Amino acid sequence: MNRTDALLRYGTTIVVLSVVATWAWRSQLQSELTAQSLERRVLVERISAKAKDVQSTASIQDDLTNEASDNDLTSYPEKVVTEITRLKDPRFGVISAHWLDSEYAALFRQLKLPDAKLERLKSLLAERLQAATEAMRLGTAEDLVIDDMPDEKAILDAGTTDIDEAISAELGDADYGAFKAYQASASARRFMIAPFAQHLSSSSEPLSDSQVDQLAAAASQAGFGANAIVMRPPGPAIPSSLDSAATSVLSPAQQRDYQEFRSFWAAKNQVSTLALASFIEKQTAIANGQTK
Amino acid sequence: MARPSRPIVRYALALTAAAALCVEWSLVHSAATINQTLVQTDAEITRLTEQQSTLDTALKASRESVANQTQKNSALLKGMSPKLRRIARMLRLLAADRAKLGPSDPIRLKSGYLFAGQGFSWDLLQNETYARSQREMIKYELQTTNGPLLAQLAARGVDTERLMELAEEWRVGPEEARGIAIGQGLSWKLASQASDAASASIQKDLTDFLGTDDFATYQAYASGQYLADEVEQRLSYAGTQLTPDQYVNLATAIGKNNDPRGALEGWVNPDVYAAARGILTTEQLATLQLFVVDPRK
Repeated sequence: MNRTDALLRYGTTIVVLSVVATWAWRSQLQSELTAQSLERRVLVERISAKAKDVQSTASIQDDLTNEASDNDLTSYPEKVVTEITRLKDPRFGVISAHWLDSEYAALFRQLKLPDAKLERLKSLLAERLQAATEAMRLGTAEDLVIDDMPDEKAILDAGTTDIDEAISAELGDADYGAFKAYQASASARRFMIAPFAQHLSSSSEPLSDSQVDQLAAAASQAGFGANAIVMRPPGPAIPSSLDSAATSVLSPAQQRDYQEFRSFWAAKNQVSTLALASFIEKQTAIANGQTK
Repeated sequence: MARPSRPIVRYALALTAAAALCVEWSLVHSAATINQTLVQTDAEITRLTEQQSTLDTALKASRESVANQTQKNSALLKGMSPKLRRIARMLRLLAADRAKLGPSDPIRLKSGYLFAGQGFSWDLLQNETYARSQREMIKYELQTTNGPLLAQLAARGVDTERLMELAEEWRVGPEEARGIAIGQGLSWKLASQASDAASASIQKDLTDFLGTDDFATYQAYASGQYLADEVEQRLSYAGTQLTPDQYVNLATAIGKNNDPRGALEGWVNPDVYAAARGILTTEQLATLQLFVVDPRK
């Protein structure tokens, strides 16, 4: 073997060995890169989760701050704060026994509670009526009419939920169920059925409590809404469900009286509708600068 | 076996060396690219680690703030009475509800309507449908409130239909007279005089029709009804309901004997209680006793 051959053999061997070494080095770099990529992905996921946490905590913080502001009753407009001051006065909102009885005497007759329990229920119901008047007065202080609010029922519920829980605890399931059923038809009972029942009270065939209950349940199909304190004028028409109930629940003599009541209701509705139209006409004229 | 010739071996070695050099170049190039990516990723990891640390700090501060605010809110709520808590809840919902209203929602209009005496307008009295409906409505209401009294008077032979006609006229006539006067352009003072004159005239007709005593009873019954209703409702769930005659006599006794303040504040004076002794049973009197307030004490 001459020198050239030997050089060629050694050179080739060195180059091949170098390739092997470079390949090993590259593989090591590749492994490091894979590990780093994994680490990076984990970090990105963690950061994304933490960013969401930060966002959600900030939102909770906002809610809490708003809640604090809402609960700080001095932060409302002056008119509302004045009304709140009035409502805080214990002399305000004393619910008269007359009002309480006119709303709930039929329920008291139905429940037949012992005296002490009856007194506790009355106290809770008085507070319930007080909450309804509070809702109305707060609305007025905000230049709103509670009966016209889209979520009138939710607003009233917010005022009465705690009281209803206390009533439930006081009455137990069965009597509380009777209370809820009574309350569900309260608006119809107060505005539509009570005048009819009172009209018949001195007749030879007054309505029984059971008849009133059935008529009130049927009348509650009319669009009274929650109508806590006053009936939204002009008031609903008599629903067909009440006509059907009248046929099945009332005696023939009472049915004749019912027809008279229908005429009364229609007349009352007519008076209210015309008064409303006249008022709107006048308001529009005032708005358009056409006052007399 | 014959050994390959020297030129072939040389050629094979040279070829191997050349191929190895190509592979080497490719490997080095690839390794350099990987190394460059490694450097970039390393820098990114450092940045992400710092970002993570910043977020950790922010999150910790935020959680502490939430905990503090929760504590503050809870302390605020604890200091509020149930009444104030419900007021706060209702105000919150009112505000949310207000946000749902559009500009065309006639809230203020209806508010005005509700507080404008049911939108009454004197012009309406010129509207025949309104006047007829109003009279029909009032007639029914008068029959309702006077029902027990009418039954008692009818039993004594009084023409109750005529009585109701006069009562309806007494309720509606004076205001119609006022409305007509205003409609004719008279001043409020003159219109009021017209209204008073109409009222006095109808009252005279009513007195002539009923006689002085029954007219006094009619008036006393009307003013005592509010409290009599209250007593009646209370007795209705005490198991000692009033008869229609008892109701009329009690309302009349209240109307004749009670203090005007009592009617407003929901109590009766001892004179009413004394008069009721001849009207109510012992059990019923016990309930009436709950309403007695002596204004002289």
